[in-house]
Amino acid sequence: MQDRKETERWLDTATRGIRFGPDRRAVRAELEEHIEDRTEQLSSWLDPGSEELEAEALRGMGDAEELGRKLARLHRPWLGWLWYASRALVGILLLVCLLGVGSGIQKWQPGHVPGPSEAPAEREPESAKLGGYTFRIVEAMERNGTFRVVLRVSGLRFWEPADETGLVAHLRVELEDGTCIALENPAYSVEINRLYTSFPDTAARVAWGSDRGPDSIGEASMEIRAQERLFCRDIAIQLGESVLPGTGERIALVLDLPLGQIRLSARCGEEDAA
Amino acid sequence: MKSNRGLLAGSGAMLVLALLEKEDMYGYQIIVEMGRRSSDVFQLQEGTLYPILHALEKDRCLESYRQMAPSGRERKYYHLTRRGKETLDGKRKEWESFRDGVDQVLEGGSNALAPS
Repeated sequence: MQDRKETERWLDTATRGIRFGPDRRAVRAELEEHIEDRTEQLSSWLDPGSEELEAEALRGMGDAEELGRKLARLHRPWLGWLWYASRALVGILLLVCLLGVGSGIQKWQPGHVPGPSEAPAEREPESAKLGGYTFRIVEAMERNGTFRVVLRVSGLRFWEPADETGLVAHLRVELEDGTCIALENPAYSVEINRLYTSFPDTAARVAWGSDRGPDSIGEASMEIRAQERLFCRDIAIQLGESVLPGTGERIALVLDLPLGQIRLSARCGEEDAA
Repeated sequence: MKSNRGLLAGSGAMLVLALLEKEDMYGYQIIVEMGRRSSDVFQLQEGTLYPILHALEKDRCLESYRQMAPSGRERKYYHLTRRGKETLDGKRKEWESFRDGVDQVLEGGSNALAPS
């Protein structure tokens, strides 16, 4: 087709009512392709490139004005802009999720776990997450010749509170000089009243130093109580004089759980770190 | 013979959906196939196909994509969705009810006047 002025005019008329630019261009392209196919078929009996061929091709397409009105009613500009805006929003949300997931994974890793003879080069975390629960030391204070450290285990699943009896069985306290205080025998009796759970058999338990191996070297006093609170359990561990950490000394609470190890630290004598 | 536009009114969408039930097609291909299958009874003003296609796509009865046609040129193809199939089935039932009603009137005209 040497001169497509009529075709261009027809296409302009049919699409000028579509005010959203991307839609107008797409519809125009589709109509132009149709005219191209129709023209190719007609050229088998009409002179290719002739005005008659172009006229016949356009005649079969119908009235451009009427078509333009129908197309304009269908292709509303606000729908087009809404579609573009929704695509942009999805892209932004995806980016936020990717960035958020990245930081979320870091938060869910348990704290750094140094070896038994390794002195921590830097302060260990005071909270850690595992299995959907958050573990945090909320108190580490000396009082009247005893040392009390409180571990808070919290989670939003209030219908699945942390099992303090299981936690206590896997708990040990480590002092800066390598001394570990843990339960000698996980089978202990439990007293439960409506305020707290106590573990009376935890008194007078095993302690050992890092240079002496796992055999029992002595006894230590460790009293444990667990108190139920909304969305959390507080497990209070009280150590007697024989293993009392010095003021300002770091202690670590270690939980060797089936899901993984939690290791938290606090400085003796500090106020609640939260 | 070209069909009366009145008879065709409202059935364009059903015809387009029925054509796309068998295979995906682009606009000009739909026009050619419609003429072929109907032995040229249905000959649309070809441009008027596009408001039908675009309305069906807007209603999610069709979805479109671009692909190379047998002619070697890229064309916009239309595909019948599951929603479009359900719509087609509904329109087929309506058409069958309409056709049966017309047939009964046409066939029963003389009987209605015959003495019982």
